[in-house]
Amino acid sequence: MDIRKQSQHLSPAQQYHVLRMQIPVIEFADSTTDELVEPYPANGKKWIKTSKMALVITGILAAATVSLSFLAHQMLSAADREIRLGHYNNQKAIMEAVRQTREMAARGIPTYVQRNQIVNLAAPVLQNCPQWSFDQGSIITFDYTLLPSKDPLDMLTSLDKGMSAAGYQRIDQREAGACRHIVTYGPK
Amino acid sequence: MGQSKLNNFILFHLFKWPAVLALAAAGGLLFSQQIKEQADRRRNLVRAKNEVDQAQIDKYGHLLNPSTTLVDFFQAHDINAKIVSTDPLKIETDLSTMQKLESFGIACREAEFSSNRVTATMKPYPPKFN
Repeated sequence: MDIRKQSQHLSPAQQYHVLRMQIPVIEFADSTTDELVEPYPANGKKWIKTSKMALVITGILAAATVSLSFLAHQMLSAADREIRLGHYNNQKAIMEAVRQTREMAARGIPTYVQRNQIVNLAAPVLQNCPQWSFDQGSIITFDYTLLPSKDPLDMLTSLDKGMSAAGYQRIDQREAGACRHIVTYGPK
Repeated sequence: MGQSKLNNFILFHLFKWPAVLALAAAGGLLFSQQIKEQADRRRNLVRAKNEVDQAQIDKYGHLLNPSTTLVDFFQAHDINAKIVSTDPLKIETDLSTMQKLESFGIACREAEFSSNRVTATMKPYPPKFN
């Protein structure tokens, strides 16, 4: 195709357009002929080197952060698994149980329970008595009637041992009739 | 002017992948930070969970409820005890039930045992703690 012949029949604007299409390099540079220079930049080698270095560094960084994400995800999954195990398996229930445990400790409930286990602590003795009573104030008084077959001293030792576990010590002990004993305990 | 555009073009193609990777690294860092924060929160929850004394809650949790009554407790735990009077609160039961009540932290002020029955004057329930 003869461009020159063809362009003669075109308007100047169309001719210009056709010519522009024929010289893409000049158009790409958007320059006049005298401004054209060698397209390869003077510091191109330096840029390539920097680009490669940047590629390596950012690649390492990306890999490191992906690994970190994976590690964090593993930690999250492990913690989730532990949470799902057991009686309390959701955050609300766990927080409520923790609150109750802390409140019990703060109010001294374990100590209260331990110091109010009188029947349980004295059970080894009381089980051998057809009749007994106790009164718990600042001091604790037991009034018990032992079975005749039981050794009063053995029973008293058992009672001392039990009461000692709850923080009480014997203050007084006396006999009040056949097989009937009155024993008093106070805080240690 | 032309030289500058060409340079920009070359620089863009040389550094597009490093830039993409840098963005990915920054995003990954933010993402891992978020997950780590979540994981830390969950681990704190696990630590708190280990603090829970389940046996204590099961046995003495009722003592924390100020609106519960002894009758409620007897019904909830199927306790065989009869309330003899309410002021002072007196109950009648057997020795093993009395022991069971004490093991749940329900204390008595006085108790008498004869003819295999325990009559006990109870301490206020639920107890008032400081």
